[in-house]
Amino acid sequence: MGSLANNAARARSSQDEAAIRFSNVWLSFEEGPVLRGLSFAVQPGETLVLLGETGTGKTLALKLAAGLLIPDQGEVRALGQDLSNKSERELLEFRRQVGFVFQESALFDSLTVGENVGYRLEQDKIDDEKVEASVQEVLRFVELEHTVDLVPSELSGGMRRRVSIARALITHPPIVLYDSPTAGLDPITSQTIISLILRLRDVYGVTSLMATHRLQDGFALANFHFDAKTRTVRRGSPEEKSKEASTRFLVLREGKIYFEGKPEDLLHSKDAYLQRFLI
Amino acid sequence: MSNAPLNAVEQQAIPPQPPSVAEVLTDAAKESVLKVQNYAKMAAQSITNLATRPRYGQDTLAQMDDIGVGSMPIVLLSGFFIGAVMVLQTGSQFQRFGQVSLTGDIVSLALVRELGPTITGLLVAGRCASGMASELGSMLVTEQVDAMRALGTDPSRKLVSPRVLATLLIMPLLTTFSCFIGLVGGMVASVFSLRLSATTFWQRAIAILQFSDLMQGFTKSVVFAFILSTVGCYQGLNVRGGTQGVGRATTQAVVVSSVLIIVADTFLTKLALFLADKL
Repeated sequence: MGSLANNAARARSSQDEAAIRFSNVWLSFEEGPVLRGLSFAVQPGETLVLLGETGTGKTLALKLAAGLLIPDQGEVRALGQDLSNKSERELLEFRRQVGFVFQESALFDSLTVGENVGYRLEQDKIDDEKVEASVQEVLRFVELEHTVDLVPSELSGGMRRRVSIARALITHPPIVLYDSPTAGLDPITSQTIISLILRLRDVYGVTSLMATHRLQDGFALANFHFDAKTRTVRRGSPEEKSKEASTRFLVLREGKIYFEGKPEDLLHSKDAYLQRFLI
Repeated sequence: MSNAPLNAVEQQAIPPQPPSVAEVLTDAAKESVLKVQNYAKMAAQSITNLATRPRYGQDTLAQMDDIGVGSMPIVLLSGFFIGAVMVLQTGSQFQRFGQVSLTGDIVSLALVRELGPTITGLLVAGRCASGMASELGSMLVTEQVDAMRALGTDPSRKLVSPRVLATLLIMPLLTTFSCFIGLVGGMVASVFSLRLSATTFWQRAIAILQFSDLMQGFTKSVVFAFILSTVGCYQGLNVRGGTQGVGRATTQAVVVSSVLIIVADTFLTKLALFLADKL
């Protein structure tokens, strides 16, 4: 996982601009516009938590950031590249630098866990031995080495989510996008997933964009950090956390930004709509 | 006061106008044209993909095994009994004129030119076009297709082209087996039902065939292969509405490919007869 840290550091040092930037992004479907002029930026190493009710466009924002969708209007930039005008072939190349964790894991059900995790490297015709070593490394990171020969249907929901994280990490991307990574999971499993995200952020400096409707996940990312020395998750004071590893919240409502700010701003907000998330 | 009625009129909400018949028809026509355009684009891309890397040879071989070996039992069984029933139906007519020996001619021509490719096409459409639609449709609704794109793989190259190429390579072989086993079925029926010698049947069945007849059967099998594989993939990759949509796409794939095969057969027969006359 060493090169993951190097990649993230390179992404930070080589770019003055934000890791992800949305500028007046509009996206419509047959039913009408879903995203209405979305503008925000995620700085390198930062975690941005996208909060919102179902159907407010959180997943769409993630898919736009990965170049899986193209905006009708506006500009999406990631890692210094304008995704709005790229061809699908160019986008395929770009996506190799971005990890995507899907809400329902989206593992290939006909492949084993090992084949799922090593899929990207297999496609690049990397030697089998190297692929196997990388697969073992990332599966160890998510503590699922023993599942390498199982198929996704033999795993629990939480394990599938962790395999999905391992698959996203195999090429050490500087940006990882999480689509409701704890949705439908029990509290203990959710905590395991959040710990993994914390480790990625604090040890390897990965830039994260996380869509969720669970406020507690966002606050866990904001209030805790992974201590590499003791290898434990600890409650972190603002002084302990570096500026780069900061966590911000973005609340979407009807395709527009309703709130953008720090966790404490959200916590102390008197707004009736935001209060609904705090209950 | 004189302005009051005017203001009241201005403030009234304009009720939404129901669309006219012309608008509904125009929208339906546009939608149909768009579907045909998207299908044509996907079908053309499935072939042009083969000219450039990456190519997925392993996937193509796996599909050839599934389509070819998997379809062999139903193709052989159907072919045998179609040949036999052809002899029973035509033989009784030829008996009236004392021309039973012509049975071999007519069965051979009908099988090679028409029934072999068409029946094989319809059978493979029923088995494989539906399979392609349901497999790709399931992958689409579980976000596996998006995951593939997120991992830097073009689904058109990985999922569509191998299926189309495998069907194009396998269908002529299946048709050949179908024709051969159909003639065997015809021979068995003519020996036991019409008391015609096996040698006479085979001699006449082979002698009547010309190069143009073989080419007609071969061309039809290739065209039918292209139709059923592209329709199956198109329906699968355009599923709307979750698992219910997968079921609908599967049915549509069989219905549309079967109808297109029969329609294409008419035009190909006319073209083949025209060319046979000219050449």
